[in-house]
Amino acid sequence: MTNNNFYENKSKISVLQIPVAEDRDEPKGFVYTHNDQMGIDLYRWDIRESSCPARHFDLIFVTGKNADEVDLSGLKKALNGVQSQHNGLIPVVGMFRRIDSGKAVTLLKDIFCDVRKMPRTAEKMAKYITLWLNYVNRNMLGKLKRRQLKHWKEKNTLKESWLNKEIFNMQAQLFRIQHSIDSMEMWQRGRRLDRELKIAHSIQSILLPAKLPSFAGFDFDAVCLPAREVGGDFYDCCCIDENRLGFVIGDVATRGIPAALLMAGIRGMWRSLMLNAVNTCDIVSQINSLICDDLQNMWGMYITLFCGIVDRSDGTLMYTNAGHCYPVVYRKKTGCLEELKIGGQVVGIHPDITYEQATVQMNKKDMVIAYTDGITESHTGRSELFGKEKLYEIIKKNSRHSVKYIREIICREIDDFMGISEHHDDKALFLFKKLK
Amino acid sequence: MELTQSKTGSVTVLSIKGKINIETSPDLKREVLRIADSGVQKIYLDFSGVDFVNSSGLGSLINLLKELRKKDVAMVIINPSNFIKSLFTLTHLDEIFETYDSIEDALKTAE
Repeated sequence: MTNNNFYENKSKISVLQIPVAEDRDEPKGFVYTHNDQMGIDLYRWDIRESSCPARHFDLIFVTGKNADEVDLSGLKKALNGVQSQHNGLIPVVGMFRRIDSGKAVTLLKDIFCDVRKMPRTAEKMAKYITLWLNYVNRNMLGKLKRRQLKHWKEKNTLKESWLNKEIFNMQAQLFRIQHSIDSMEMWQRGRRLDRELKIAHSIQSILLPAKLPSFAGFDFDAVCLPAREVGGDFYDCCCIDENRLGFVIGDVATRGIPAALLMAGIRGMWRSLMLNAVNTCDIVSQINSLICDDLQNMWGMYITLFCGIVDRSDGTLMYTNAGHCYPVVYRKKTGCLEELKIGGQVVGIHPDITYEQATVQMNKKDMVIAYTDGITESHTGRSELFGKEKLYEIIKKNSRHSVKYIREIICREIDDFMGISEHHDDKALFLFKKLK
Repeated sequence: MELTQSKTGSVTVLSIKGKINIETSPDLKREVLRIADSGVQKIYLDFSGVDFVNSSGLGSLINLLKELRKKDVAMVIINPSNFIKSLFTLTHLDEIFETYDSIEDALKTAE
């Protein structure tokens, strides 16, 4: 049967059209129209709106914008009713404006005999209908199905092997470009941060006295080792007058940049207060009341301070300990260590704290060792602490040496103890010995 | 750090296991403030399993205490180790932290 024959015969053909998804526009339910020119009785059935139409059909069209919208299980359920009224199966064909080759294969492997692009003209539609009826009459629907399946499979393979490969390559390329941009930005940001940290490190080094003042009758030494580029441990000292030298050692209770910024502020306060100092407890009290306001909204920040004034006219050390690791006085005469505990709470918690001070007499060859908790709390991966006892032992064992030597030996012992473990905390040491 | 919340009668106990330091204190802060916001009047922090508190951890405990005071919630530390006790003494924070050797001691005092 040719296209022309089809028109000439005008044989009555009953077609059931099932629209899917977006194609289900008005009219709703079950609608019948007759195309006189093509000789087709067209029954349009919206499977959601009405029950199965009870009559004979030559073909079932499933139509829609996109083949992807076909819900196979819903369609099969609806068609079961129609098919059961016939002795033989009614051929189901699909016509869609867009067809994904993968979906076409799925449909053809199921109830569909053919899946095609929606024809744009009535002539083409007539050609299709003729073709389908031809296959039905010759009982060759299986062949049509196999032919179409082969066609869509080839398209799908081509799509997967070529297009997918292209898409994959493009995606990989895009990812590489994005990754390069990110890496470049990270690298630049890292470099900038690195540069700024190096500057911060230099500034912090300047804030620590490059050279300890020479103070006749006493020998001083100190070191500060931040765990990172910058840290919160610090020491400082300055001559108040010809007989008195003030010093401080402190620890800001956090690490890195926040600690360094706070340390710089505290050190500035201490300097300006110490130059006019009368006693140590007033200096610490004033620093505390000044810093408390600033720290109000800073989580977990406080400062431990040990502030001292050495007076060579009478060989005394006046001090105030604000929650700092107890510095020790090594007594040459007895070989004992005395902990310097008098003072008060750590700085920065409460503005109205009263601090105390104490004075100790220093005799010939007596030595004071002040340190931060990074020294005694140095710990290895096994969580073993360096500890106060080990520090005291080193001090006693090396007491006859210079403070510089003792400082070096403490640092070396800590390095040996730590081995390859990471240094977690900043460390500072401040030592002095009365020579005469 | 492991945090376990339990109830002993009407008392809320948060047991802490591990170290309190800069890495672990945010978790502790979050958990304590969550409990505080649940309507309790007192939080008991069980320190039996705490083996180390460094300066950052201590800072966090101070701020937690301050924060809880603002919310009218008391914070009590139970069974701190000798190391932690000496740390509180050294920093004079034993003057602000309420500490007890056992939950029973703490409850007796509360009565």
